[in-house]
Amino acid sequence: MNTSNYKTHPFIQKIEQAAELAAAFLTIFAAAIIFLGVILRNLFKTSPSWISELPTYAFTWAVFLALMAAFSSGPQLGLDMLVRRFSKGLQKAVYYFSAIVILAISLILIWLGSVLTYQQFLSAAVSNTALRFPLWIVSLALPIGFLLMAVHACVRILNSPAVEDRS
Amino acid sequence: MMASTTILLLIFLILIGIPVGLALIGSSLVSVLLFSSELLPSVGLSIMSTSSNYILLAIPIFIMAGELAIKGKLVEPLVELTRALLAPVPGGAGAATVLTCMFFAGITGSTAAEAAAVGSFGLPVLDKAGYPKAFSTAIIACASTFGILVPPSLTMILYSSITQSPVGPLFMAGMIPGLIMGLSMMVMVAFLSWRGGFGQPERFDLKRLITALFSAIWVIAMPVLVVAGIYSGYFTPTEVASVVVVYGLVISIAVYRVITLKDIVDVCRSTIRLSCMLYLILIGASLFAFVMTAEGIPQSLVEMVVTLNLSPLEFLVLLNLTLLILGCFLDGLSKLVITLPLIYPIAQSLGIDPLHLAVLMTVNIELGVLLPPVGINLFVLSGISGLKIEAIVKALVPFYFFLIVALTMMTYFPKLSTWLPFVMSHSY
Repeated sequence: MNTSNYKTHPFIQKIEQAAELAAAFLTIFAAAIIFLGVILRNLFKTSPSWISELPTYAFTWAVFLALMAAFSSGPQLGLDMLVRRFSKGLQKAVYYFSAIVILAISLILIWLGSVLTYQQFLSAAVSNTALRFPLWIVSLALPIGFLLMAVHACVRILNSPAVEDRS
Repeated sequence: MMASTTILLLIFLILIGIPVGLALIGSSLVSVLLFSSELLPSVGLSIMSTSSNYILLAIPIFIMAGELAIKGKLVEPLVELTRALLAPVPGGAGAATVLTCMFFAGITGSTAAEAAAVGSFGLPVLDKAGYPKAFSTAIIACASTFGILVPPSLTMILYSSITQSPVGPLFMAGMIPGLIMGLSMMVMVAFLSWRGGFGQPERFDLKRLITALFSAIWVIAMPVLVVAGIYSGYFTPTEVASVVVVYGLVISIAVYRVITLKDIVDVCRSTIRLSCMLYLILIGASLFAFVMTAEGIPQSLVEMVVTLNLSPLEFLVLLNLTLLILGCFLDGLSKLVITLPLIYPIAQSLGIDPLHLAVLMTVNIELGVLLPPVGINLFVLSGISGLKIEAIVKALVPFYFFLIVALTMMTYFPKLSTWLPFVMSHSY
């Protein structure tokens, strides 16, 4: 596990913080709704279907909104022992290459997510529960999350890699 | 061709330092784009169905409970209670640390969180008792791996989600192996401490024990709540996670009075960051499994094992060796989500009980978190103790043997994993 910090423009930092704050709020919201479900079922003998549905949607959004913050300064479950043994020049090359790979993956997922969201919007697809929640609202999290990720990748490309720290 | 491209690309991306989740997503995406673009629309759906899985929601909420337990310093009363109970025994301070880890395992479900929590409070206590730092760090590193064997094990939740097995029996399957490993490790640590002359037995003090018990009773209730809540049928695992979060918050504020609003914000931030990285791995693993299944790889592997005429035991020994080697290159979670979709159909075709397989994979992951160079517990405890990884690894040698013996035992005696779920569930 390693932790990477990048210098970012204050505006991008603000976006990252706002997205993380929203993600944290949605996580608390998801946990609170599930707890409410426990209370409703055990004390009031009622179990509305949205109790299990809303938290999953909220947390889906939370995961994608937090992508940028997680990659900027969160724990990164990856393997960098090989890269750290490279020469400084090669480390720099790998740094830029991996940032470009992350950007490419993000762009593909923005495209796939946008197509999925648009199709669900056009077909007015809804969840098959009593809540009949519009599915495009959930799927929109995918392109938005990876758009933030693409911004992170661009910030990475624009920053010089800290090879001295790695070696 | 599609499968081999995915695997080669995956290895390449991991080796150049791309986080495992993104490497899984990237390699699967490229293969689908190159070889089977008609499957592309299903990729988006597959990502959304993984990220909105209700069972998996238990993971971030249990992570939150663990983070809350750390910030709320809930491990402190546990350390005092186990010391009051076991310090009068020769080598008791070390054994008490193992017992603390066993209790705390019932709250966190994650080895890294447990190592961080018990390490912060347990290391100074063992230092004061005269234990060498490397030995006490090794005790905590190994004992904190039990967190993923007993409820609320995050590994078991993932296993349940990947194999579509119910979580309840999986949680129960880890109980007996977890208890056996915990108790035998207590004996081993007490013996090693006594032989090394570490720490002098303290005088038994009933008053201290009762005071410590009253102070820790609120924390001890947390693991009890998890197990009793699920098995009484009152809560699902996801629900019990939310109950534990609310309970943890209430006792941290009202009973122990240690948590501040800033701490709660920090808990949420670290929860969402870690959960996000875990979910990315899960999304990647689901895409990886999607590509492998589209290519019929699990089926080919089953046919290969049938051709090799392996017995279930031979297969399990082979599996243990493979997972041990993989443990040197991949973190536990990645190892589980990448290999399980391939291993599970083979295990099923050989008639291996899914509960037995779950426990074996979990014990393998326990070993993996202690193996250099990627063992997460080594990094966490190196940061807390200030010791070099090499020094911790050297002190861990007896514990590696201990875990290998435990793994062998779990491999040869499937009943250790399957008996309790069988007894506790009529439907199983």
